[in-house]
Amino acid sequence: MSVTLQDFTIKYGHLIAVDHLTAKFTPGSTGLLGANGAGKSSLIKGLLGLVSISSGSASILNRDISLERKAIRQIIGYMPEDDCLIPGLTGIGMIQYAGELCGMSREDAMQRGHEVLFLVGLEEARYRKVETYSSGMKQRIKLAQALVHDPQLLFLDEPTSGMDPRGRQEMLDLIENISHSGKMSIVLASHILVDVERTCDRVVIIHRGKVLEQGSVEELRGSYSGVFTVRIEGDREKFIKALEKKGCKVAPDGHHLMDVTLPKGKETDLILKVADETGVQLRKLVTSVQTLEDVFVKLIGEDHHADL
Amino acid sequence: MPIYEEGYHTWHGQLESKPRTWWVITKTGIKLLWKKGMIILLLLASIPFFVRAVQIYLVTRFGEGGEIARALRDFRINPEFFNSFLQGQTFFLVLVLILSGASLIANDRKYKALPIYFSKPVSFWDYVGGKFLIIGFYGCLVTLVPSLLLFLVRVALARDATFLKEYFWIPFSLMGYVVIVLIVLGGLILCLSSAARGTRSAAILFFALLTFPELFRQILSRIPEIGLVSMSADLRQVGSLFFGLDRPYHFSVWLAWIALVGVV
Repeated sequence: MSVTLQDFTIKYGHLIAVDHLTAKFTPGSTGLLGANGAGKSSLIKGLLGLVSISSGSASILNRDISLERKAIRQIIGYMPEDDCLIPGLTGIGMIQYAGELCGMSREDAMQRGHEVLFLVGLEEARYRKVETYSSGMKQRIKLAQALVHDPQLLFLDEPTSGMDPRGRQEMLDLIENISHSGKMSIVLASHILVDVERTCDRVVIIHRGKVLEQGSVEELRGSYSGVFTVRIEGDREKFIKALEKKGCKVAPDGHHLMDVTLPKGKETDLILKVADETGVQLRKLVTSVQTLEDVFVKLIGEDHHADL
Repeated sequence: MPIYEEGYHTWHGQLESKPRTWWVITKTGIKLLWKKGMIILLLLASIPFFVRAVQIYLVTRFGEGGEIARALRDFRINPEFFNSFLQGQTFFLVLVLILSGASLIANDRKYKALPIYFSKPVSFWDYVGGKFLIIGFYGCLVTLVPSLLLFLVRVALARDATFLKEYFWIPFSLMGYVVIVLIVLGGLILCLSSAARGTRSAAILFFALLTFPELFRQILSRIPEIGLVSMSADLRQVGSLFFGLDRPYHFSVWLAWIALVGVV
């Protein structure tokens, strides 16, 4: 397991940021998905020891975070959410510094620094002071400092925040490339569903510090795949009530269409049967295409989705 | 020339099992400050050293009882000489601390660099120790190094070993006293640098904490115990103990110690 959490809790005074969270992140790329303030960043900071844990335990790469903090920090990389820079240093200077802090020799850190700066597309700006970097460049240098020592596990906190569309695409390509290289596991925290869907194999959906759902992207889509878009002619209210009586969830769109979620194990026959029983004409019955966004909206509700 | 495929490459090197992160922080900090023009301050701080070195040369060359020595008002190279030199250099030390120490942690906070440090194998003590050694290095360059060099100059120019036999303990006193001054003032500036909103606030607070209690002491000089509130007076009082001199103030040297420990 890359990360194991057991009853993991983080409190800021009376505010519970992470609430008795139990989860396992398997090797590969895992997306921590949640609205702003869901507890994603706090969870990562808690794992790294940047904020205190109120209760519970956790291990990273099978090492207890409370006992082997330094050893863990040496084999993980962290790209923070905020603009984090070491003032006064050039791009290459900062990456070399980060490498040396991880235990690389000066020469290795310098050589590897150039490599990762090329990788993140900062080769032209490597001798510029980091304070002069644009937002997109700051995101890239944060990724570079996290990668310099070739960590086994990489924590990325909102990696595309503040980037222009092109930069965002390049960053996602890069993360995808690292993720698919199979050499390192990734935990990506984001509220941008598309980013998580594109780069991660597994998703952990967090809301108000708790895990709502976890699994592979396909599994999550699959578990919510019994959704159909239906259009009828006839007594709409009667049809909806009959469906709900049979255990279906119905979400009318206010016009002619409605989304019908079938109970587990039931097939479309159920809708046909209810239409027959209520005497309505079925004009449309198609599978509703599920994206991670649909799953997410269903889990946390439309009101919270508005925050995203 | 090897042709690399695009994309991420694994690094095949070896990480140190216990990296000395405090040393990495110290050496990088020293280099950064050097590039920021610390050399100018160091050159300024070296002027008193050269003046004193010339004085030592004149006194040893022409004798302590000679005309030139008399012209220098019975100038003698004794513990008082080294103590007064160090007290003078404290001015440059304060400048070093303001120009270098105030920004050390404040800038890391301003640029939110702390998560970068603490997501690496850097402990709190590695970080603070590394930062402290930066000011320790520059602090020693303006205090300890010239004092020891003056001692060496005096020993080198001496015609016999009398001075060395009599005052062999002075280098130890110099080291001890400088360590105390650096711990107190360096610790204070680092504390202010981490707590203040920015470099400027830290520098102003530091200056105010050194200056106002000293002014207060001078205004209320009739009450000797008031001197305890002044860190400068406490340090001078403790300094006199290190150099075996008469106490400059009329309050207990032990109370001065306690006050300094309190600051630390």
